[in-house]
Amino acid sequence: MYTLSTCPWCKKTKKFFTDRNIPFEFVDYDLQTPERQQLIEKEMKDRGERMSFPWVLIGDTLVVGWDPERYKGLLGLNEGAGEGQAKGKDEAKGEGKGKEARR
Amino acid sequence: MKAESRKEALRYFYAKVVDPLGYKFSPDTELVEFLLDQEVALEQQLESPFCPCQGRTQDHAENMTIVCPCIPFHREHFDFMRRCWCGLFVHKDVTDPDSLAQVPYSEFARRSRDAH
Repeated sequence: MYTLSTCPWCKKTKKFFTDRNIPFEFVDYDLQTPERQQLIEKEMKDRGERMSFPWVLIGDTLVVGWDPERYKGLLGLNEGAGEGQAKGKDEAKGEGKGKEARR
Repeated sequence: MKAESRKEALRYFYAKVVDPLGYKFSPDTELVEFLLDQEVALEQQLESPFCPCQGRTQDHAENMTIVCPCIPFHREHFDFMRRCWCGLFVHKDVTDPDSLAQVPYSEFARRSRDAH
């Protein structure tokens, strides 16, 4: 996933994966070199998106924005319905400690 | 200017700018405080309070479209979501900001095309 270190929705997204012990890789776009940022920018814009984060690739499917229901669907998680896309305040604004790897 | 003072200044300024646009601060005060803290830090580092949830590029003109409050530059997209991308601002009639989704630009553009 591509994230920003300043973005609360990116933190929630990381925590969503961490809390479920789902390994993931993330790149904080704003902490990259200008050269790396340009590569990421091209990748995002080639997909018809703007520079809006979080940017989550699950398999071949891209999910832009905080969308826990889509994450669950794509990951095959069955945690019950009812958590709207923008829900999940308790997904927390901080990052958890789980299997994650910054690229 | 100290961070807390600048934060209050931004809060005052933003309220005046977004009100005639039909927006207000999100009722999610915890989110608002977090985002304002990030914007103050970004402004101290980069001289402008950029949106904490949108990425800056090498294009100065493009970057100016994500200086908060960036609603005028993304008006149709944000009106569609009834919130700005980071959620600092919501439409005035919104009481439950958690019900508002972040809709990717590509999806917004596709739905707009389909509607016409």
